[in-house]
Amino acid sequence: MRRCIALLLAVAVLLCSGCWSLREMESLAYILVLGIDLTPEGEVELYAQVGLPSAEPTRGGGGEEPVVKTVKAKGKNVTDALDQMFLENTKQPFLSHLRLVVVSERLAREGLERILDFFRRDVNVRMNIRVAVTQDDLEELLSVQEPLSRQPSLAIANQFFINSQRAGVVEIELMQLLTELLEPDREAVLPLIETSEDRFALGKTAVFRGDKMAATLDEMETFGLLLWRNKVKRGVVSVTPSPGSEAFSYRILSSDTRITTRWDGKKLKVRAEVRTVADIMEMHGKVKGDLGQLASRFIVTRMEDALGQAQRSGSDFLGIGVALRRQNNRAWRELRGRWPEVLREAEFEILSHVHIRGQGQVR
Amino acid sequence: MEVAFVAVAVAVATAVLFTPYLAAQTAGQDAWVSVIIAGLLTLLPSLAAAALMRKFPGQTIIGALPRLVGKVPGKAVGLAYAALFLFSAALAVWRLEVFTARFLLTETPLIVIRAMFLVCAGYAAISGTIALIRTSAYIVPAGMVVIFLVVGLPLQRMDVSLLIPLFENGYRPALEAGLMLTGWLSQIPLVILMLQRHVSADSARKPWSIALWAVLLSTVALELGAAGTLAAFGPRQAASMYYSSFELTRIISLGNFWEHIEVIFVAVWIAGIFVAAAFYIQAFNTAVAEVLQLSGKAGKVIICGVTLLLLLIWPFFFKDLSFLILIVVIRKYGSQLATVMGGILPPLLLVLSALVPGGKGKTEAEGARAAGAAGQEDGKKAR
Repeated sequence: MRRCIALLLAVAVLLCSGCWSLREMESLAYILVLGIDLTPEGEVELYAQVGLPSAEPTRGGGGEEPVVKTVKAKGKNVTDALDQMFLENTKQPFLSHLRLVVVSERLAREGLERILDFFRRDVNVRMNIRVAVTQDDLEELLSVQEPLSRQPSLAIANQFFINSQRAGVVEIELMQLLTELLEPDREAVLPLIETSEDRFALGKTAVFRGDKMAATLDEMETFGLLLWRNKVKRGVVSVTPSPGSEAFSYRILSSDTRITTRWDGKKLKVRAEVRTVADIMEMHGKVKGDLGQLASRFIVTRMEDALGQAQRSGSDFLGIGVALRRQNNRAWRELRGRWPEVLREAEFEILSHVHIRGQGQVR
Repeated sequence: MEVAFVAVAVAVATAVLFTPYLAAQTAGQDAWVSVIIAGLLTLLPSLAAAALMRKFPGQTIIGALPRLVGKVPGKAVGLAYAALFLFSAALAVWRLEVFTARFLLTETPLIVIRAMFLVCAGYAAISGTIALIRTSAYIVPAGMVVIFLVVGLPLQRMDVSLLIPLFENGYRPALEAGLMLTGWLSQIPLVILMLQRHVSADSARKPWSIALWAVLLSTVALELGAAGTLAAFGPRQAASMYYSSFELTRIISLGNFWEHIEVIFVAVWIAGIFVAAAFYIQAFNTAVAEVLQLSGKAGKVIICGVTLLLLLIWPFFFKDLSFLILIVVIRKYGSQLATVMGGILPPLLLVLSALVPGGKGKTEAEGARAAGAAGQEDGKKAR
């Protein structure tokens, strides 16, 4: 009996090896970057950057031809647009290798909710894909031929990685974006991706109120945002002590931000304290004043800049609500209904302590 | 210890996919506390089940029940256990079927997936308990390593602030979720009630060790899953993702290079759910055979064949089955029935066994003979 069952199993394994769900590699179009825009008529427009297999026989493999191609389609929503893509292509659009979603500013200002349901449901899409906003034309952005890398999606991924290590850019993945949109004490931010001649440029940030883009932060304000969110681990900062004087640069070795909140019944009092350890990278002549204090002043100013944007836009993307919810839950529940107003009227104290550990790699 | 491994395989494999979602829905960020509550709540019935079955060496709970509560009530409760085992087997197969159709073999007809899985689980069930116990001895250590990796590797993507504030909406949601999760961990006493007969007399002197290890390992595994998904996705997102623990494996990316490694998780989970399904099929067969006092291999093979047929065709009698119905059935019925039969009954039966004079089990000599027979039947005895 056992032998019969074992034989039956062996035969079944050979005969039922899953041809029903067969997906041939050659029949799939691997979408690596997906650009999403809104047409003036309110339709969703998709720009899919598809990787071309280098082993494809029709291609020369000389190394000069692009290894990606951008295809586009329109539809009532993301699903419909993707479905249209099937009609216009010889390969099946496949999202399992998607690495980046770029949303146009127009769509970001209309609200991300319109597209996010698709990404939450589609099991092919991984939750760790990066999401960004662009103010440029999506078609132009996706046609950039990065000179140092033939594969744009990998180039962008590397660019994010390098710049997030040096506190130059916010790096947000789909799962994090959804968390920030869904949790009641958070607001979302997304990196802005731009084209600069023949390459991509990062550094600016789009901030959201709810699911709608509310404002943009420049590079300096983005650094302030990263300080508020305690995301600065490394990086180089250049400070000009006074107008006309020569800048000195220091390298951040470690940074830690602590936010403490206090509600006195009338006003929210917020204290942010940043402790940074740094090393001098470059300095010309004698700098007037204490280096640590000058560096601290720079940090405080950046944080004040980011705070100003938060108060103006009414979006708590800095994480003050996150701190209050955990430190004084009763007050947070009382204030959450009128949070933008509370944030505008709050009293802030920003402190920075920079410890200059060494004089750099002086030989 | 190997019996404890079967209990861990059954409890964790059936719980690991959906419980983070269900617990986050009920308790929000307190879901990770509810796992600890469930672990503590399951400790007593697990210890009670082990102590109870120590009084009936070489027997299953089905065989012991007539001595404990009388012949007719004993058979009635035995049939209730059998019904629970069949129901749990159907749920285990349904879980695998839905997962496979959603993530792995999207075009393959469900009946084919179900039939293939049932052939394997049925073969394991009929091969005897020792085969299952030995399989679990490999799967559980591998599974624990995988769970540690799945939670450890995406650690830098997690935000521990999402695990607090605790009890923001009072203690009730955490307690409710804890009670609900007890349903999954209550499978541990069920396994002990059916399999402790294979534990040798020496090990049976410390009945608490099997129960303790099983509850501890299962709670740690589920705690890692719950805390990991909450810290990665946040309570609200976790409460809207049916397979949040599986998604955790899909976000692993080491240096943008080592990715798409969810196959490791899938392999271990399928092995675990295979043990769970095979255990329940076997437990149902044993229970029916003992209630009907059938002996001999032919009877058991016939019961197993009918069981597999039932498990294969039952979905045809329910036209509107869907994924959502599976979730509702697991939450409303699966969890509660297991809580009653595995969480509440064993302590009551233990108390009864101490109170009722006729509730004393077999003598040591009878027990040793019966244990020997159980071991012989399955090849050799577990440690």
